[in-house]
Amino acid sequence: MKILLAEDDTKSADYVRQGLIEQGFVVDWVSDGREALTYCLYNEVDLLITDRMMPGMDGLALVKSLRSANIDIPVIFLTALSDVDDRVDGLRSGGDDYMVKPFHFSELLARIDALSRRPKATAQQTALTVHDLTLNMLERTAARQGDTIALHNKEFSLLQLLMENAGRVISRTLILERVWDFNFDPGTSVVETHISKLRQKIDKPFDVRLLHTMRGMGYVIRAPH
Amino acid sequence: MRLTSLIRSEPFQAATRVLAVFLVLYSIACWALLKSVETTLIEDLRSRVQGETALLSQIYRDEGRRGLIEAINRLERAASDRAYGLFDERRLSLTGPISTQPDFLGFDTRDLGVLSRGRIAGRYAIWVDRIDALTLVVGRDDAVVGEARTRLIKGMALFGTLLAFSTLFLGLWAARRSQQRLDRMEHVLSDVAKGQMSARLPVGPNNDQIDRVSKRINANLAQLQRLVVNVKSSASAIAHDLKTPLSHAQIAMQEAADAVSSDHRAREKVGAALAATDELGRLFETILRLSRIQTTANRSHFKETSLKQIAEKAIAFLEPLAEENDQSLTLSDKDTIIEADADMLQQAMINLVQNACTHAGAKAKIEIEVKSEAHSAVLTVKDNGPGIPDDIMKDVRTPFTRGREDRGSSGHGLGLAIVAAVAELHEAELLLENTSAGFEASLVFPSSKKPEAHSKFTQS
Repeated sequence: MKILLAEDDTKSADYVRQGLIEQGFVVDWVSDGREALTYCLYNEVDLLITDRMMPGMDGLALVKSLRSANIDIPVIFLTALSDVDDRVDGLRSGGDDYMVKPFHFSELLARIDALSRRPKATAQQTALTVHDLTLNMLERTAARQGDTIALHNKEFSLLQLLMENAGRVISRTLILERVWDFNFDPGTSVVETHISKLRQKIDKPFDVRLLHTMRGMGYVIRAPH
Repeated sequence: MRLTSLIRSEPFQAATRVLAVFLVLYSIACWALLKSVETTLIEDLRSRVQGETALLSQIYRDEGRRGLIEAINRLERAASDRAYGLFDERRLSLTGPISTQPDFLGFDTRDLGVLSRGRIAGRYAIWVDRIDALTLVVGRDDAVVGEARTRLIKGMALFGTLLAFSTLFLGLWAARRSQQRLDRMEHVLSDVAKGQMSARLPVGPNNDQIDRVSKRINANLAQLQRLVVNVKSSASAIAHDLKTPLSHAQIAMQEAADAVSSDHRAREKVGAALAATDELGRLFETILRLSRIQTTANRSHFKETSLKQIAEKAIAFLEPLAEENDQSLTLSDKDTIIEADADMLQQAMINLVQNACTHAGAKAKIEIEVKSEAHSAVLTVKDNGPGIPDDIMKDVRTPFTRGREDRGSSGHGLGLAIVAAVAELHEAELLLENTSAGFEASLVFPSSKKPEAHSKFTQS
């Protein structure tokens, strides 16, 4: 999968580029909006990650130009502009996702995964499994070692998000956005409370811990090594 | 447009004041004109009777007493508006319907009913003169004066009435025109208040007072728009410039975390540093958000929002916190729809309910109530906790104000400041009150709509 990164901050660009290459993506980097537009017009690109404020052409104009040229590649905005209006502008211009700096790399991976899965959405998975924990998407139930675990609606959505990204750290921001549809940070520790309640159900009665808190980063569900 | 408001408007009031002054001056002018016309007509009658007296005197000198009596009798028969009287030296009537000799010489107007013993009615202009030993009285009916007076009064009254109605009509027309322009001004200013910063007042070609005021207001609106744009671009610049180094610090720490992944202790330390920068980033984000809400005036994206659904979502989010504290969270059945920014309202709701969960104490009862009143929609969060100490009550809406018992907690004292800013943007009132049962926080929105088809507001 080939990704174009349009970012004028060299340090952030290096970090993202290096991380994506380590994950097996082919990454090209440009630091100017106009260069990014030219690149997308004349090269095959599977995904564009772009800043909002760039020299040459800003990210919004870049995406609008791409959409008017009928180039439908998925676009993720990666920007310091965090207001709801900025997010709405980004998505209205033709962006597919919007991520605010500072960010966690694992969250960027989760968003790339979600976007690259999007075209195959018809072939939906019916179950997710991590070690001995299974999530039945049709019946909306969970089971571990054969024991059914009763989950509330939001607990199910939270576990689904974590299991879809098993092994990957999911940030508080992504959880608030995907599970509660909050485009703002309510500034509480309630997400931690939800995680601990989920942990009570899926981890506590069992020997092996699957749900981990990565301090300062987020939460991850993973099978033991 | 209501007639009473037009009547109370300044242009109409000015028109009525002008009309009142005009009517006073017009009445004085009419009175003077009337007197002048009367005097002229009376003078005319005087010269006529005087002339006639001179003519009869001449006849007396030419033809003697008999010739004079005959001439008087002929004139008497020929014209009904004339009256004569001739008296000898003993004041005895020699001829004519005037049978009593007047007690003056010269000109006057008199009612001849007495002087003619009822033979002639009405007022006459009379001239009394002596011809040798005889006294001659010549009179002319002054009905023409009364008739002229009546006609003149009727004409002036008609003209005055027409003028008064025309002035009032013109006043109403001017008032309506001004009112329409003021209504347009009000409409535009209301649009500006809702965030349409590009709205401007219409300016006509006349350069009248309203046009000049409109131009001044438009200049101020343009200045306001520039300031708002500056504030927004400054906020964006701050966000970009300060977040980039913060982002670099997080990147460095994540790389450090990867580098020391085998060393559990070092990884813990880096994790703590990451958590601190994460907290710093969130605090920074909250301050920026508070500043944006406080400076925004844009309400164009407001849409119909169900207060009940906002409350339900907050409860679903905060239920585990309440359960942890063994508290009950309940919501009233009623719903109300208001025009609002759903995200901002959601955040305000979460802040209010979370405050209750945090401060009401273990086993507290927290009730959320949605009410629709005549001209307002009210959202209340009440608990049976200890409330807010009186000494900090007045400051709790100020950013970074925290209670004494909160000093060691993770909050920053921005929750109620955000609620107050959201309330202001929605023209709502935030009421905080210690009650006999505990504490109540209410958001009173100016108006509400009845909930329509419930399916329109699906909860995610």
